[in-house]
Amino acid sequence: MERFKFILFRPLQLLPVLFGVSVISFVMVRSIPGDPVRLLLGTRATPEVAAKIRAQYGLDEPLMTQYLLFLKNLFQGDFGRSIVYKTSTFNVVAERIGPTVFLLAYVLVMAILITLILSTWAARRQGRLPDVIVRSYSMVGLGLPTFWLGIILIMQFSIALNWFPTSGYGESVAENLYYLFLPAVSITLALSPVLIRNLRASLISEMESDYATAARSRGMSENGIYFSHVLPNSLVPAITLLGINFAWLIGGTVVVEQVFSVPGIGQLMISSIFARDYLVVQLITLVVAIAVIAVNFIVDVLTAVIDPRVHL
Amino acid sequence: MMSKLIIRDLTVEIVTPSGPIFPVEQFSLSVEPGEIVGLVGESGSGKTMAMRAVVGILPRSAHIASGEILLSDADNAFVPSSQQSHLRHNIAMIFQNPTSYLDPLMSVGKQVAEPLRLHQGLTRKEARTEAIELFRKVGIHDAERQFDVYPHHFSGGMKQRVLIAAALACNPKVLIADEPTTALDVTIQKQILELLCRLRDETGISIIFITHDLGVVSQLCDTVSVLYAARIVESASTIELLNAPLHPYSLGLIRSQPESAQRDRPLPSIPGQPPALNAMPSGCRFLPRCEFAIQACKQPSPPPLVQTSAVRSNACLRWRELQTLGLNYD
Amino acid sequence: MRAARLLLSVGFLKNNNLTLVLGIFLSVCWVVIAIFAPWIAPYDPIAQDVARTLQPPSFAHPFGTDNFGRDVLSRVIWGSRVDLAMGLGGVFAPIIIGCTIGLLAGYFGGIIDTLLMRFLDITISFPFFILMIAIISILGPGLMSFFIALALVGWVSYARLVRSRTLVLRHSDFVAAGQILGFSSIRIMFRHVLPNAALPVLVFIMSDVVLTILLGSSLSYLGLGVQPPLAEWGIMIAEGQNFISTAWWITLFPGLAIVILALSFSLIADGLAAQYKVSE
Repeated sequence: MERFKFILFRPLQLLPVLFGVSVISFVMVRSIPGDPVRLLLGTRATPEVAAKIRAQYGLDEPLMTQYLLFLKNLFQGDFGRSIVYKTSTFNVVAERIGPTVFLLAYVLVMAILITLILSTWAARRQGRLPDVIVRSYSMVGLGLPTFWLGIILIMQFSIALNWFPTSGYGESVAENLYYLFLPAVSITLALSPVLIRNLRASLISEMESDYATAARSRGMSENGIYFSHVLPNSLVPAITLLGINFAWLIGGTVVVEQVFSVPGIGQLMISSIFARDYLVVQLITLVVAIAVIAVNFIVDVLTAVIDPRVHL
Repeated sequence: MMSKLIIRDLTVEIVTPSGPIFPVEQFSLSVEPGEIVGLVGESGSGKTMAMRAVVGILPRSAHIASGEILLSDADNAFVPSSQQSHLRHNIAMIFQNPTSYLDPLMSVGKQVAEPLRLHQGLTRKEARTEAIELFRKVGIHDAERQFDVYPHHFSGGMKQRVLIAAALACNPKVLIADEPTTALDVTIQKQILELLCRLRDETGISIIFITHDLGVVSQLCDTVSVLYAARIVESASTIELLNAPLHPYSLGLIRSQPESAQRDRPLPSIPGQPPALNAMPSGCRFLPRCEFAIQACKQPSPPPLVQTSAVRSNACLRWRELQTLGLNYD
Repeated sequence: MRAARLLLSVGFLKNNNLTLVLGIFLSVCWVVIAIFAPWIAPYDPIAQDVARTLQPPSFAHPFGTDNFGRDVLSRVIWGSRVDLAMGLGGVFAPIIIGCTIGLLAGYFGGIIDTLLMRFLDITISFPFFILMIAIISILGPGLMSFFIALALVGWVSYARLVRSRTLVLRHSDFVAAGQILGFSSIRIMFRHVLPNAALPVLVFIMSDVVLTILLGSSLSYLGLGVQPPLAEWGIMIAEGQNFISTAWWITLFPGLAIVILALSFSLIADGLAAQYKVSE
C-alpha cells in the first residue's frame, strides 16, 4: 500500500541517530580516566601486547582516525574483549540478553492489559467510585520506586506466603513466567499509572467527541461506540506514550533485575560498572540504544496502521 | 411511513455550581410530515441544545427538566418520549462542522454501513451495497470506490454528504440539520440545500433546519420559529414571518440581513447583546434591546407564547400594535 | 468503600484546588522536616548502638532500629534532606539548559533549530537511565556525578517543551509588537516569551522532581548515587534488603517516605495543571 512506503525509508532517517549513538559510545570509553589499553587488557599485560593492541585500535592515531577505526571494528562485529569474562563482549552480552528481553515482553503484555482494563473501567464510570479508585492508584503510583516495590513483593509473596521464588530466572518458558512474575509485576505497577492517566483522559475526551455524539445520534449503543470509535482513537496517543516510556522501562528493568537477581543485561551492566569492565558497559549502552530506536520505529508503523492520516 | 413530530414545553437544565441554568425553556414545536421547519436565532439562543435534547445527545452536564417529545408511528399513534431509542431511531441529525463529526480512523463507507448493520441487521456485504446506494442518493459520484476512502481525503461538502448518508441509514422520519452549510463554501452550500430539498421531495422526510441565515430560510423552509435567549418568540409560516414579523426581535433580524439593507445606508443591527444564561432579565428577555418596550414588558415572568392565529404564535405583548404598523414601521 | 466515598464528597480528587493545596501542604511539611531534622530526629542518624540492633518498632523507636542499631525514624528524617536536595537540586541545571536551548531553537528557527532538534533526537534515543548510569560509571558514584549526569541528559524534555511553546508564541501579536518597538531578541525571549511558557514548564518541573527523586534513590540503591553511611532512603532500602525476612521495618519506612514525598509533588503538578488548564 502507498502509505506504507515509509517502512522502507524510515530506517534511513534513523542513520543520523545511530551515528550520534556511536559517537556517544566512543566518547564515553575515551573519557574514562586512565590508559584505555590497561582497561582493555587488565593490569598484567606485557608492554609488547600493549603495543600491539595500541596499534590494532589505532590508539596512537589522531582522534578522528580512532573513531573511524572504532566504527570499522563495530561493523566487523568486533566490540572488544571483556576483562572480567576474558571473552568477546559480544558473547558476554548475547548470553545475558534473553532474560531481559523476556522480562520486557512480560511487562509490556501485563502493562497493556492492566492499562486497558483500568482505564476503561474508570472512563466509563467517570466521577464514580471506580474512577476515584483508579485515579488514586494512578496518582500514588507515579511515585512508586520499583526497587522498593520489588522488595515489598518479595517480603509478602516469597517470604511470608512462599508463593514465588525470591530470585532467579528458571529453565523452561513456564518456569521463566513463574520466576519473573514478581519482577514483572513490580515494573508494571510503577509503569502503568502514567499510561492509565493518559488513556483514561483520552478515552473521556473521545467519548465526548463530535463523532461519538454523531454515532450516538444514529442510535449506536455506548458499547458499540466505545469499541468502534472511542478506543481506536485513544490508542494512537497511548501507543506513542508507551513508546516514549520504553526507554524508562529499560531503566526499570535494570533496577528490578538487581532486586530479584535476574541474570539479564541490566544486572550485567551494574556488575560491569563496579568491575570497571567498560567495553561491556559500552556494548550494552549501544544495544539498548538500538532497541529504543527499533521500538520507536515499530511505534511509528503501528501509528500509521491505525491512523490513515499519518504519513512518515 | 410519514410521521408527525410534536415537541411540547421542552425545558433543558444545566446544573452549575452557582445554580441551575436553562438553555432551553418551554420550547414547543410541531413538524408536519414532509415539512421543512426553520429554527432561527443567534448563537447561544438554544436552538442546537433544544434539538440535541430531542435526539437524546445532550452533553453530560445537561438534562431534560420537563416537557415531552412525541413522534407518531405508522398507525399515527404517538409514542412518548420516555422511549428514547424510538426517537433516536427515527430522528437523525446532521451537524455544522462535518469534519469533526466523522471518525477520522474509519472509512466513510463503514461509517454509513454501521447504522445499517445495527438497525436493519444487515450483513457486512449487504450493508456495503446499501451504503453505496445511499452514497449515490446523496450525490457522491463513483460511490463504489469512495466507500473505502478516509474522511481526510474528502472536502467539507463531501463530508457533509457522507453525514447525510449516515443519517439516512437510520431510515429516519425526521432529519435535524444543525447549520449544515455554515462551514461550507457558498457554491457547496447551495448544492447541500438542493440535496435536502430533493430528499424531502423524494422520501417525504421532515426536516428541522437550524440556521441564523434568513436568506436560507426563505429559500428552503415552509415554516419558521425564532428563538431568543432560550425561548421561542415567534412561530409562523416563512412568508408571513419574513413579510410581516410580529415580534420586535424577528423584525430586527430581518432588518439586519444584508439582502434587505438599502444601498446608501449602513447595515442596521440590533443594539446590545443577548443576555447571558445566568443573568436573565426579568420580564421580556428582549426588553433591554427593544425599541418598542413599554412598562408592561417588565412583568416578572417572560411573556408566554400565545396563538395569534391558527398557524402563528407570538410572545410579544404588543403584537397587535405591531401588526397595524406593517414591516417598515420607521 | 466508605472512605473513598467520603473523599469524593469532600472533593479530594474532584476539586482541583484541594489537590493543589494538599500537595503544597505535604511538600512544605517535608521541607520543614528536612530543615529542622537535627531538632526533630530523636536520635543521631549514624550513631551505632550494638546493644539495640534490629529492634522492631516500639515506643522508643517508632520505626525500629537497623542492623547497626541506628534509629530508622531518625534516619528517615535525616534522609529527607538528601532526597529533597536530590529532587530539587537535580532539576536545576536541566531547567536552565533546557529552557535556554528550547528558547533559542524555537525563537530563531532555521539551522539552529534543525541542529538542536537533531541533537535532541539522538539524546532522546538514548535510554535516560542507561545513559545516566554510563555517565556516572565514568565520573564515579556520588551526588555530584548525579547532578552532572542529570545536567547532561535531563534538559531534553525542557528543551522540547519550551521550543514547542516558543514556536506558537513567536507568531503572536505581543512578540510582533516587541519587535516593532525595537526590543532586542534576548529581551523579547526572556521577558515576554519565557514567562508565557512558564506555566507548562512549572507543571513539568513538579513531575520532573518526582522522577528525579525516584531516579536518585534508585541509583543510590544500586550503589551509584549517594554513598553510605549518609542516611538516604534508597541506601536504607538496599541495606534493609539483607534483613527482609527478619526486619521488614528497615525497608518499609524509607520506601513509604519516597512514595509520600513523590506524591506531594505529583499532587502539585496535577493541581497546577487542572487549575490553569495546562495539558501535560
